[in-house]
Amino acid sequence: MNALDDSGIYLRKEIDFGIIHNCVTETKSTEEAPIRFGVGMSQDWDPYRAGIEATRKAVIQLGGTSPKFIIIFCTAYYARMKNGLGRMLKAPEDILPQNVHLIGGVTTAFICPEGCFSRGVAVIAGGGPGIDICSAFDGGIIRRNPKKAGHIVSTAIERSFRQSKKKHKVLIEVMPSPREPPQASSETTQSLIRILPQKAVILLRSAIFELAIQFLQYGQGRETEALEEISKTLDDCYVIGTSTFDDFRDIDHYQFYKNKVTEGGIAALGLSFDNEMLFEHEPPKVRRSGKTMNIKRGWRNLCIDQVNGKPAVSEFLRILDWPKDYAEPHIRQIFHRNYYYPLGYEEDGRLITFPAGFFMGETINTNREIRTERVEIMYTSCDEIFKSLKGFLERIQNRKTVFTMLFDASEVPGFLGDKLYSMKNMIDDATKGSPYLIIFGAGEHSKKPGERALFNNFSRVDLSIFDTD
Amino acid sequence: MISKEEDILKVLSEDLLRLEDIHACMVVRKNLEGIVPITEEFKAEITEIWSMLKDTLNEFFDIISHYSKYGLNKIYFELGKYDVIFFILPGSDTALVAIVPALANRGLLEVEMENARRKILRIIETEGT
Repeated sequence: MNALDDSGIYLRKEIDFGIIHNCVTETKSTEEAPIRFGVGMSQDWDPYRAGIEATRKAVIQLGGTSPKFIIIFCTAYYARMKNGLGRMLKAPEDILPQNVHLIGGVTTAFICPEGCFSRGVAVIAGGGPGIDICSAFDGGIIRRNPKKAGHIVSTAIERSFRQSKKKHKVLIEVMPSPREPPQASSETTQSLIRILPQKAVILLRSAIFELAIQFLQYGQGRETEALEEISKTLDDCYVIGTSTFDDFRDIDHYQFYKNKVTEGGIAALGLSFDNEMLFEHEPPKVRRSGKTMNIKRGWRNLCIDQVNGKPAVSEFLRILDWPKDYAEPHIRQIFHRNYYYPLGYEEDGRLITFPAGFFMGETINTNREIRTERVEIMYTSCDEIFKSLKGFLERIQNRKTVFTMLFDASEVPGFLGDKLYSMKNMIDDATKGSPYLIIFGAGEHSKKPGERALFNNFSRVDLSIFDTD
Repeated sequence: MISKEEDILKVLSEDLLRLEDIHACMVVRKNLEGIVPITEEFKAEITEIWSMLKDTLNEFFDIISHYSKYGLNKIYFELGKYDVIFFILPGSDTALVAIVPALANRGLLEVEMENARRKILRIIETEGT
């Protein structure tokens, strides 16, 4: 009797998915080849049982079709248990055929047909002859070498895409968001910051962050640089992705590839299919304040060292008319206020927004490479969240969808709380019983064929795949 | 047969109290009459200020009983390092109450509190004891 029998949830002998397809080699295309998706979830407190339950629910919806891939997202609760993520990933490994592609990561919250959850596991399963699958992993190097990480993943996926004759090529990827380096917010560092001159603080900041990204798997996620490299290789493809994030503690956000758990890697899944689809990157759900700031950038253009020629943090607080104690050193505290007042600028006609994040002395340390010397303060808006969602859902509600996936921003559940169910009701109405999953992460990634990939915050990326009928 | 009270207690203990940021929770009306898990299940941090919290949150039930019929849905107050969140059971004088650290993300906790409120309402609405 194996462990699964003991759990009493799922018996291996009950599973008969038939022939295993390693889809990279399956390139025969038929016009009406069916593709099937399923979405399952679990709130079991045990990570293994949660993985089993969510996978089982998702796979059952494939109606006997063998799964070719699963995407697994879980909240940070499981990451804080001893080997919690390893045990969770063991579950699909135990009950699915070998060579089912698996990617995923930690997420702040999710919405699926069963409800809205800030604790739990969600699984997407997909299969059928109408879809070809491949997957790739960068080896966990994105923080120290994002260009190489992007190159490794995109060339591997591109090679597999070339073998598929199907029309649409979609890369789904999961990357890390910034992790607060404990060395930067420690009591010792904070004491040093209070006595050191500003120039020395800037040097200390740069040294800590450089050390963090090179050796410690902390610091910025560096999604922009990785995505630009991916764009070069996968020019004729779609890209949709999310930056992993936890419950705003900013400690436990991991990525999954097969049975591996990594703190700083790109896990990517390539999908090729002929079905029609709708792919949108909604602009940030913010309102512009008109309050602009001239900035002097620091360390790798990821930081703001001066605002309007003055120490950055004091001037930023003055503009917002906020007291000094709003400049908290921990990201967890920042999410209570500052997160809802992002900074933004226009690049190639697109509005880019990002949180005015981690404060270290008088420096503002952000999550993206800032490519301007003038930024504007934005206001996040509940109204814009619903307006933007309504617009997308109107475009799919008269179509028969086989699957819908939205990568949304982590501030949305933070904003809406129990009103997240209003979003769910809208999605339920538009998708009419077909599977969907909304993931709330710390950054949204997207690219359409011929375009440069975009990493944004406070935005949303939408993908709906339609039935062939 | 498991009573409705036991089912609700299970929701409080299993779904909410196990969350790191829920320090205490209960389904109560004025004078804290209702379903309260044993205080040993509450996080140790709040025990020293529990009596003050209890008195303060009790005052809010006057507002709840007055305005619940008009659709009052939620109330919050902050007391020192803690937030107290009331999720009112629709049209009643009773609320699901949770005490959480002020630093916690209230939105994320609300999502799970709403799931608990829905479960509690389902238990109340089912026939039987």
